[in-house]
Parts: sequence; C-alpha cells; structure tokens
Amino acid sequence: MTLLNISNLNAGYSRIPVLSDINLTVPEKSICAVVGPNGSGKSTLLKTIFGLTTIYNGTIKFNGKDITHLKPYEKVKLGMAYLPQTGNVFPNLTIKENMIMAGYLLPKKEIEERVENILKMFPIANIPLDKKVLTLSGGERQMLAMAMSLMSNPKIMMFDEPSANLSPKLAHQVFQKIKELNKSGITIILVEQNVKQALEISEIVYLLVSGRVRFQGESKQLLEHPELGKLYLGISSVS
Amino acid sequence: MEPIIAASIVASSVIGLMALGFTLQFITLKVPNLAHTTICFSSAYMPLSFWLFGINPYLALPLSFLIGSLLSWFLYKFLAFLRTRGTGPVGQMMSSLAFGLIIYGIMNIYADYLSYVLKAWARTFTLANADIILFGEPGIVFLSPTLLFSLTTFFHLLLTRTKFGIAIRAIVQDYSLAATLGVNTDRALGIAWFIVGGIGGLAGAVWPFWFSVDPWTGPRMLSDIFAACVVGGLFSVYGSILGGIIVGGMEILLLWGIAINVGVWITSYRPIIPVIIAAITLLIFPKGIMGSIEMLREKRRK
Repeated sequence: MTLLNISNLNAGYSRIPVLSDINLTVPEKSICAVVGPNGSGKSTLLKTIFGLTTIYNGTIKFNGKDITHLKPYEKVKLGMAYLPQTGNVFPNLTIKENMIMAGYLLPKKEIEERVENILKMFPIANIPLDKKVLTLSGGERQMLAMAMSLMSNPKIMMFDEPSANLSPKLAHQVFQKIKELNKSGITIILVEQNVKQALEISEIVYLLVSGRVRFQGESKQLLEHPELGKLYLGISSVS
Repeated sequence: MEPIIAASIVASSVIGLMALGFTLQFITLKVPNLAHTTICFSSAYMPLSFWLFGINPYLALPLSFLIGSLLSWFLYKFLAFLRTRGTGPVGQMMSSLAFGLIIYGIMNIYADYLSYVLKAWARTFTLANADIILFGEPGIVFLSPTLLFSLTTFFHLLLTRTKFGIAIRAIVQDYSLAATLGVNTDRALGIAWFIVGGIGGLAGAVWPFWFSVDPWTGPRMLSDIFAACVVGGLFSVYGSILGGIIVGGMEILLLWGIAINVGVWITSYRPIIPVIIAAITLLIFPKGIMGSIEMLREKRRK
C-alpha cells in the first residue's frame, strides 16, 4: 500500500525553482532512499513534503489525503516527522525541553510517559534530562534528534543526511537505529550523501539530478547500474 | 518618601515592563516594533476616561491590558502577513512605525473628543490627584513595582514551566524546527504578542498616576525603551527588564542631580540621558549586561 504519493511536483524557494516534475511513491513500511549529487534538490524535496518551501504545482498525498498545502504542524498531526540535516535540536533548551517540544501536540501526561520510554531506546538515556543540549556531542545530539522525531508517534519519518558530520562508528549506529525504526513499522524516507550505506538499508531509491528524478527503482538496481552510480554518486557498480 | 525616589521607582518599573515586551517582540520576529511604546501609552487614556466618568481609574487597568493586547496582536498578524508576502525586516519595521502613527492619530482624536465634548483637560494630563493613598504614599509607588515583580515572575514561570512558554523559547531559537515539530508557530507568537502587548498596556496605564501623558508620550519614550533593551542585552527578556530598571531609575535621578546643579533648563534634554546611558553601557559591555554575563558563562563552560 502506498503511504506517500507525489505527482508532478514543481517547487522551490519563493520564486527560485528547484524541483521539476517530481513523481515519487513510497510504499508503507519501506525504506526509500533519495540520493544524488550536491545541489540536486534532495533536501528541498523533504522540505517540500513537509511544507517548508513554495509549491508551484503538483500534489502530495499522504495516506490518500491531499496534504499539498497543509502547514507543518498539521502534517505532524497526521503522523509525519522530519529530521533536518542541521539545526535539528534546540541547543539552548534542556534535553527534556527538547523532548517536550517534540511531543508538543500530545497531552502532558503522555509526554511524560513517552520521554523516558523513547530515550531508553537511544544511547543517551543516562544523560540527565535537565542538561542543556549545547553541552552534548554531535553524536549525542543526533541521537536526541532521532528520539525527538519519535515523540509524535509518526507513521513516516524523513531523515535529511542523518550521518552528516558523524564518525563512521556513530554513522553506523544511526543507520542501525533507522533500520530498527523501520522494523517497528515506521516508513522511512532517507536523504543521504553516504550513498552505499543508504542503498544497503533501503529497498527503493530515487536518484535526483538537477531537481529531476533521473532514476527510480530498487536500490540493488542502482548499485548495479553500469553508469549512473559512477556518473552521479561516485560509486562503482557491484558485479 | 522623597518624591524623586518615588518617581524613579515608578519610571523603573514601567520602563522595565515595556522593555520586556519590546525585546520579546524583537526576538520573535527579528524586527524592532517601533509602535510598541505608542501601543503601551494608547491605553493610558482608559484610566482618564474612567476618572472623568467618576469611576476609580484603577478599575480601568483590565481594559488597558486588553487594549494593549489587541493592538499588539493585530500588529503581529499584520507583520506576519507582510512577511509571508515577502516583505523584509526594514519594510516590516517601517510598517510598525506607520501602525504607531495611526494609533497616535486615533489618540489625538480621542484626546480632542474629551477636550472639546467633555471639556476635560485631556491633551496633556496626569492622574496624580486621582491616586489612592497607601501608608501615606501614592498608591502607584507600591503598585508599579508590584506589577513589575508579579508580571516578571508570571512571565518567567510561563516561559520555563509551561509547554507554551518552552515553545516560545524554541521558536526564538529556531522558527522552522519548532514548526516541523508540530508547533503552530503563528498562533504561539500571536499569543505571545497578545500577552506582552497587554503587559505594555498595563504599564502605559499606570504611568499617568505619577507622570504626565499626552498622545506623543509613546513615540517619545521609544528611546528609553530602546536604551533599556541595549543596556540589558537586546536578546534577553530578563536583561531588558533589568535594563529598564537601570535606565528608568538613572534617568530620573541623573536628571534631578544635574538640574539642581546646572539649572532646570537642562530637563529639556531629558531624552538624551537614556541614549548616553546606553552608549556608556555599550562601551563597557558591548553585548549589554546579560550578553556579557552569557559570554562569561560560555568562557567558564569551555
């Protein structure tokens, strides 16, 4: 069953177009990778799905409902979560306050319950909740950001380069966590520069080049493609 | 109590309350609201109206709060609308100035109405004679610092203990992230502007119980509020309150000190004093008092 369906989408920032004629389908409970060279519009695609850019035309449907022009907080209510590449936590708030913000739409009692339960899933559970986030390391912040995106109990999570600026070990942990989240039934859209790892954990992939979909299909197919991987992603085909 | 001390207490408290609103509005939209003080003093005509109709002017305070709130909320909606249409910070700032001038015009019309129709002394007025006496002193000497203390406490608790307050702090740090986490940023900021506008309205309404007010008082006070925010640290709500207390108090005490030595003529130059205080503070603390404290904390953390 299709959870997210994008048809003929054209979008950008104010009057600057970035995405052209995007068609994208994400099946429920799948991991969908969006890859492409720098400046190809990957992050803009996620921002557009979440209502943070200007949509010129086209439609975005989530669970069969047209969400093209809904505001971000309305999309969170429907079960969507978005984890930006940078600035995905509030540095001057405490860990607990960040988690409260992430569960803003939930009743107070439910927030209290979920904060502890969710943090237990991540290797930051032993850090005092009243600690300011600016004192955390990059990896800890990324884990907190992932924990935050779970607070609203999402059906779909959109990650924008979650392994950026992380050591290989931490990046591996992040990908493992994404796989775990997917196994628990959450649909994932993953925008990633670390193409090989993204393709390894995803089932379907979209290759964006200059704001257009250049390839769509199974992740394996792109890995094995004789030209595309080498041309746009710097990977050699797997024989 | 010496009248000069009482005057500095009232000025400190009122300017502190107004500076709180100015700073919060500035850090939420990143635009200085040049109409803030005009909005604050627009409510000063409510206690006068109550008094003219034989009602205790203090009973007008809730209405003054409401006037400040509604005007502030309306201005926020207007500026937010302009922002969605692509108007930049300068355009929004000039729009706030225009909004203030419209309110100034309405205040003039109302003052003229009271003057010509009710034959009241309304273009420049004070309510010092209408004040109540508590422990041998005018009530405003106790009320204004009480308002400052209680509203600051209320605001602190709101910002630190409630989901809404945390959301405001989150929006100030990262507007987009707050929106992506499900915060209705537009509504939250609208409520914040409503509350600080109301607090400003209250501050403006108690001012005439000690000082005189005319329709131009608001625009004239903008330099005091701006100086208060600069002294305290333009990005800190608590700093601006502290700055308001310092600027309000020092302005009165310095002016008095200079006037008794130089002559009363010097009082005409009163608006320069807050600017001088701000300039000296910036020389010593380039980021204002709270900004400097934050820098020290940051150094210690490292």
